[in-house]
Amino acid sequence: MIKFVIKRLLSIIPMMLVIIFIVFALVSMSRVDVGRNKLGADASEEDVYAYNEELGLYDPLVVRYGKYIAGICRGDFGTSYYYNEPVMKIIMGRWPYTIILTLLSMGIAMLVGISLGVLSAVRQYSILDRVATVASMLLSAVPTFCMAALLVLLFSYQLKLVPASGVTNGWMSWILPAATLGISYSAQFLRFTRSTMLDTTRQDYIRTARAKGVAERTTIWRHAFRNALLPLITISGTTMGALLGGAVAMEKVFVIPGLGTLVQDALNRNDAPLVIGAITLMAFTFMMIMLVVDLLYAAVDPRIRAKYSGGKGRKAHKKEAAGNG
Amino acid sequence: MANERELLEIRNLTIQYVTEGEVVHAVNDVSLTIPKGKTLGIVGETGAGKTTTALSILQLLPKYTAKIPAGEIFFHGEDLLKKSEAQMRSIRGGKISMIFQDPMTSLNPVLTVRDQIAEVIRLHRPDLKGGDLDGEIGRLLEMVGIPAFRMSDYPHQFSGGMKQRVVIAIAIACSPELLIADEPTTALDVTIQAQVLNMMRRLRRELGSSMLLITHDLGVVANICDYVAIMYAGEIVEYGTVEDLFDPARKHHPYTEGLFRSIPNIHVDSRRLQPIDGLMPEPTDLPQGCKFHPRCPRCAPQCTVPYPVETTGPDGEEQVTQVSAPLWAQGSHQIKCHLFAEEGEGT
Repeated sequence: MIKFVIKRLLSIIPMMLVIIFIVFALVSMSRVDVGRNKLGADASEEDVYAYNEELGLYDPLVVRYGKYIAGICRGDFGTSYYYNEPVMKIIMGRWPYTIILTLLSMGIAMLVGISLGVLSAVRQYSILDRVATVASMLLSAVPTFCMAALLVLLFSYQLKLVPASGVTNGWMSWILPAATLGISYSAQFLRFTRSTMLDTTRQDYIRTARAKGVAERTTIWRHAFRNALLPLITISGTTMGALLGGAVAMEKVFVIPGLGTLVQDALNRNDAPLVIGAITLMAFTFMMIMLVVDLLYAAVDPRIRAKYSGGKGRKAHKKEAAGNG
Repeated sequence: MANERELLEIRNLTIQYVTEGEVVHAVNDVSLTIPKGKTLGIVGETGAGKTTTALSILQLLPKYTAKIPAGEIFFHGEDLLKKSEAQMRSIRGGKISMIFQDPMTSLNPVLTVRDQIAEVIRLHRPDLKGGDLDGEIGRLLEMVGIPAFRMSDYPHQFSGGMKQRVVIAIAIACSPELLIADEPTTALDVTIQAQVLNMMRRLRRELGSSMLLITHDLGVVANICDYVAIMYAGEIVEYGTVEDLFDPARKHHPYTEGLFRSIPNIHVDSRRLQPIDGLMPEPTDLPQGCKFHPRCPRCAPQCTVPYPVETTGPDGEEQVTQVSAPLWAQGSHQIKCHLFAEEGEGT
C-alpha cells in the first residue's frame, strides 16, 4: 500500500513538469512587452530592453522553463509583474477563500444530494422521489450565476437576511455563496446517487442480505450504499477539483477574492508568473485529490486494495484461476 | 389448519406480476407440501414459476410489481403470508434459508466472508459472540470444505464453486428447518456441480433439514429428492415421489413424458432426442383450459376449456370454481390431466 502511494506521488512529478511546460509555452505565446507595460510609454527603448533582459525574457523558451523549474525546486514561483510580490505569497493570500467556499459547498452538496438520492432510490416512485427528481432537473437546468442572482435578490434585498456580497461579515457572508453552489451541485449528486443506488439495490447480494433476515435499513446502508460509494467518490473528487480551481462566476457574483478571480485578473493583466503559479498550484491540488480518491477506492473496495498492494492480490487471483481451472 | 406432519404446505397459491398494462401470471393455483426432513424437487423450464414460488415463501418477491391475490403458505401451521415484515425477518435466514442460483453475484463484494456469515449468525443466534462466533464461522466453513483461515478473505478471492460453498455456509449457519435451493448448481461447471450436490446431500442429512430444490435437471432430482413436482406455465402438472415420477411403467402427464424423452439415454440407441414441439405460452397470455394443450400430442377437445370443480367455500357453502384440468390421484401420485381422470381411478 505504501509502495503504491509512493509510486503515485512520484508519478505526479513528470505530470506536473508536462503541465507546467504547456502552461509556460501558452503564456509565452502572447507577445506582450512586459518591460513596456511596466515602465510605461515614456520609458526609453534601452530601459525597456534592460528590464526585459533582467527578467530573462529574451532567453529561449527551454532555458526559461528550466530556470522556472529550478526556481520551483527552491520554493520560488517567481514575482508577479503587477503586484511586484512573490507569486506564492499572493496565491496563499487568496487560497483560503477558495478552500472555504469549496469545503462549505461540497459539504452542502454531498449532505443534501447523497441523502436525498439514497432516499429517492429506496422509495422509488414515491412523492419524495418524484419531487426530488423534478427539483434536481430544474436546479441543473438553471445556470449557477442566475440562481445566485435570484437568491441574492430574495434573501439579501427582499428579506435582508444575509449580506449580498463580500467576505467581511464573518460566517454570515458565506451562507449565500456556499448555499448557491452547494444546492446546484447537490442536484448532480442527487441524480447520480439515485441512479447508482437503484442499480446496487437490484443486485443479487442485496437479495442475499434480505434472505438472511437483515433489516431494511442495514441492507440499504451496509450492503447497497457501501457498493454505491465507489462512483460517488469519483464524482466527489472531480467536483471538488473543479471547485478548488475556483468557481469564477460565483466569486465574481459574490465578490469573493478567491483563486478564480485572481487568475482571471492576472490573465487580463498579462501577469505571466502569477498565471503560471496559480495554474501549477491548481493542477497539483487536483492531482492530490485524485490520489486521495484512489486511496478511498482502496479503503472501500477490497478488489482494488488487492490490486494496489500487488503481491497478495496477485496470489489471490492465481488461486482463483486455479480454482476455476 | 395445516397438517402438523408437513413442515411447509402451500395451498392454491397464485402470484402475478403487475406492470403497466400487463399482468404476468407467474404462479397459478399451486398447492404442494414438504414433509419434515424430506426433499421436494420442483422441475420445470425457465419461466415456469419455480423461482417465484420459492421467493414467495420467504416473501422476497419484488415489492412493487408482485401481487399474491390468492393462496396460503403454511409453515409449522402458520400462514407466512399473514406475517408482518418483522416476523418474516426473524424467519428468513433462521428457520428458512435460501441458496441462490448465481454464486458470482450473490455475495457482497466489499465484505469479508467472515462478516457475511457473522451477519446471519448475529441476527438469529445472538448468544454467540467474540471467539465463539469466529469458532462457529470456522466450523461452518470447514463443513462446506473451505479451510477456516480463509474467513478473512473477500469473495473475489474465491472461485465460483468456492463462492457457492460460502453461500451454502450462510444458508446453513442457523440450522434451518427448511432450506430452499434455487438451481444451486446451474452456474457451476459439471465437476463442481457434483461436488456441491454431494455436499448439500450430506449437509441436509447432518442437519435434518427439509429442502426445496429447484432445478431443471432431472438427474439431480433422481439423486437427491424424495418428492418431485413438475411445473409448467405456473402450474404443477404432476406431483409424486421420485419412484412415482421415474417409473416409466406408471401413468405420467404428457409434459412429463416429453421431458423424459428429451433426456439422452445411454441404453437406447437413438440418433436424435425427441424435443417437445413448440414453446411455453407467454405468461401474459395463457391458454384456456390445460396450459399444455397447444403442445400436447394427446390433446382432446375438453382440454381446451376450463374444468369446473365443486368445492366447499370457507363458510361451508358449495361453490363451483374453474380449474385448468381435473386432478387424478393415486396415493402420493397426482396428475393434472383429463387423460386419467376419465378412467375413474382417481378422485
